Amino acid sequence: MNDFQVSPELLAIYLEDARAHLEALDHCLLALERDGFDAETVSAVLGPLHTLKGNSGMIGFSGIKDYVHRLEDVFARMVKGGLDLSPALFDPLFAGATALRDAVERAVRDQSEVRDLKLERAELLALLEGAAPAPPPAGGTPGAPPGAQAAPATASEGALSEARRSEPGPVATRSNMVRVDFGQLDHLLNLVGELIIFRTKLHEVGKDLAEQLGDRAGGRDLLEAVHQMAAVSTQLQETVMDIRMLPIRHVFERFPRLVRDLAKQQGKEIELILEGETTRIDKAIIDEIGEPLVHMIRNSVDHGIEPPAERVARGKTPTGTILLSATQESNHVLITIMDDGSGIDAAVVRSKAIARGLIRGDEQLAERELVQLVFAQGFSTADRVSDLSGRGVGLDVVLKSIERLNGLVEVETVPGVGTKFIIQLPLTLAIISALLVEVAGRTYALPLGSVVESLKLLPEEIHRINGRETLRIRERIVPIVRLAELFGLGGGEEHGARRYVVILGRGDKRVGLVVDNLKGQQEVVIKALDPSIAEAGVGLAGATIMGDGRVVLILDVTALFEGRRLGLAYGRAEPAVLRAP
Amino acid sequence: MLRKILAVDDSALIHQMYKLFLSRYKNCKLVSAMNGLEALDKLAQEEGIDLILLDINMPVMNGLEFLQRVQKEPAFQQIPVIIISTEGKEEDTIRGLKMGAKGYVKKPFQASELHGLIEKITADS
Amino acid sequence: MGRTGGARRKNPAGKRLRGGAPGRAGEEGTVVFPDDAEGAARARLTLPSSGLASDILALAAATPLAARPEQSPAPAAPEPAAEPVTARSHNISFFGSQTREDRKAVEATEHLATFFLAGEEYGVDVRLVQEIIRLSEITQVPRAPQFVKGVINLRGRIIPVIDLKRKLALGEVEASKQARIVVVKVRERLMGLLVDGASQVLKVPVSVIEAAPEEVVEIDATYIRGVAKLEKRLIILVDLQKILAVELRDGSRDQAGDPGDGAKP
Repeated sequence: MNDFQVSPELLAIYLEDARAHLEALDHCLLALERDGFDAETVSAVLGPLHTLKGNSGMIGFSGIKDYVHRLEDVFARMVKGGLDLSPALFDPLFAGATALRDAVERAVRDQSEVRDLKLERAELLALLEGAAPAPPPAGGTPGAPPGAQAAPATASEGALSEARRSEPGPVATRSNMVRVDFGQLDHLLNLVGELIIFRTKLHEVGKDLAEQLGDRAGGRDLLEAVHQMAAVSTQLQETVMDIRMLPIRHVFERFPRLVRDLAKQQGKEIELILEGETTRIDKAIIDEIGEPLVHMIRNSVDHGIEPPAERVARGKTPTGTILLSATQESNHVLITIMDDGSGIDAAVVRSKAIARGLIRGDEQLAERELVQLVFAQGFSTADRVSDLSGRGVGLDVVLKSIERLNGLVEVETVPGVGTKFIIQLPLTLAIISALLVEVAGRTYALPLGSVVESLKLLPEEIHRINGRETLRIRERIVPIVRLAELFGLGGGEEHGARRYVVILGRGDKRVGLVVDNLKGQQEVVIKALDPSIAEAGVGLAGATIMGDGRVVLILDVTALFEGRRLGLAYGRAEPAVLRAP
Repeated sequence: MLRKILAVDDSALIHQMYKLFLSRYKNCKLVSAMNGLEALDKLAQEEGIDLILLDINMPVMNGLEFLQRVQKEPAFQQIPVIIISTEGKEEDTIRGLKMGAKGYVKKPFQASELHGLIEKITADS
Repeated sequence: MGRTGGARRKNPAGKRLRGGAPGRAGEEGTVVFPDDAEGAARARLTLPSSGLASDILALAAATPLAARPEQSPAPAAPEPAAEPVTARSHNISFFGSQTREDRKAVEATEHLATFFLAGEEYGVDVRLVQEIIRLSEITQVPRAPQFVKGVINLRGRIIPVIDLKRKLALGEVEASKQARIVVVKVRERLMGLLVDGASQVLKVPVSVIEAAPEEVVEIDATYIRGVAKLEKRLIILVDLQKILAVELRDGSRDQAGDPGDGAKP
């Protein structure tokens, strides 16, 4: 029984550190497996393991502590010699690392040790017992890697020659940092967001007032003060947003191990190259983008890269390559997943799509559009259900996840050569520019990023094609949706009266949204909606709070492009492609 | 009467636990350092450190090297040091004790164990 | 595979070391390498869990390799009673767990928050209730189910409001001075329940809680945990998790809860 209480805060610190230590372990094992024994690689992992052992012991996870202790013994033995770096060694080590990670996550989640790692410990013990006898130490004090360091001069320096000195490790260099609860940061950002809303209001009122005061007392001073406040609050906003931005490395770190495991399972040889790991992205997005990326990488491994023999037959190198890179462009981040595998065959996609009823047999689709169908719901080019990619998750779910982040994804492919997925994400989720519109007396917000233009609507410009209302805008035919009808609000039948149509765009696609009034543009802080609401209605991206406390719903524009949920005059379910002649 | 305790360890978790364990010493300031080098800085900056809790295995500068330097400084060599030991590293602990540390406690330890040791050590000095 | 490292030697497959115990029985944390001189020394020089320099150094100087300090006169260090060096089983206590006796006392009463729906009094576990507020402007959500009244702004958080009467098929809550929104937190999610009126927060002894007789209660039996029979009133105890099961299911991704292959970053 502990004589102290392990609080959730303590567990959170333990978990965060443990994750970093386990990453170090994975990296070490991968490097050893790939490049053979290297004293520095091993000594770099000893520090994290030692700290993990100490932490686990203090928190009370003795099974985990004992297992890590065994791991330390194994590495120590590796350094002394006597352990063959063969699959017989790596398999239990990798499996053990996975088990360890699982045990840690579960122990924290359930707040007690669920998994005691007894079996894994026994495995390591067997490894150690089966090892050849160690050669006598090369000289110097115990613990010095043979030949790695010069013989220490004094007894105390002997302890220092533990090569940990050279590698600070990911956890130790944090003394300049302050640990902040992300909830607090979010709260701070919310407050800043509200400050901005009121600043805007103040600015307007101030301007009016200043005009009225003219050159009289305080008119100019007021305006000046308001301007300064605007400048400072903008800076404040930028700074807070910046704090939330973390390097995408946090997400990328998991992938080398994942690719290694998957490739092994499938008998493929794959090299994963990471680029742009320092690219920064909002923590809220980091939390959400991991899973979609995992699925996409799995997809590349499963369906992209061919087995070595096949690759050689095609004149490729037996080792396939997956490139995962991130770059920042103006106000968004691009994440690319590119492989030099078999590519996507548009003809295969087409026949599968027809078989799954996603398109009709006589429909003519450009190759680009066909390929995009891989994201359509219920689509999969796998002939067999691989338990790897197919845990019931396909690219359609990936698309949904990315769109939930206000992101886009596109795919380019050349059959036989490779495939490239490009994900575009906004830098931050929290604050967006919105266009406010009014329908039947209610106000809604549209993400300005999706607005191409807005026009006055003249009823005579509406044409019906295939039972759907459309507009001709310059050379394009754009389908339109009456928001009032969509929302089941009254007043949708009036065809006269002043109406506006907001043209929304996503990639090449266009949809026009018919509203009563435009209420201007504004920056709004997006607040999450409880999932039961977001899913239930028409597809809401969130909600925001106006200066007067009113709640305004933010529409999820993607739903409008798909028409899946709408069931209006759209007839059958639309694929994720909108065709324009 | 403990006024300031310097805790040296590279684990953020351990520091948090020290905060918890040492909260019973009212009006005692807890100073943290993540490695031996930082600890030397803190020693110099903060006046009146009454006790040092010292981990051995740390990057940049480990506990024994820190201790070695501290023992050379007349200003600091009187400060009692408790070595925070780990299993399997007994030699380091003994070495530290020989270098002048007043006592040790092995990880993992309970709060009461640390308190008992602290009381014994600070009572004597 | 790749380069070979420093002092590595080939291990004849499957050869096991003989000689020397594989470690003291029952102490899993210790492994003795009989061929490893330092390891052997280390194993024999095991220190107690804490100690004073004055005691330990005397011991170490006297018999550096042979002594097992635990068996010799115990050094004056506080040792936790009868705890082995490893494999201590922890009973981690969180958030101030109660002793056995305290827990028994708590179990004897249920702490409820109660409210009115269609003239009947209903009760829920007070720990789920964050606050009870008056009706404020509810923003409608288009094409939401009938019982979803909309959303409200609760000090900067936007929470859904569910008409509990509709949800339980008892009619509809009408806007009135008495109507209230009971803000509950279930599984980390905040929701507002629209009710005809709020009653009070009270403790009822477990002894007055019984199973609900069928004739009395109009709502779906699965929602009912029991009824509390007080002097002049009957409180119908309901299970919010069951009532809100559908709402709670949406959007939760980690239902399987198995991080086994470490897919989540």
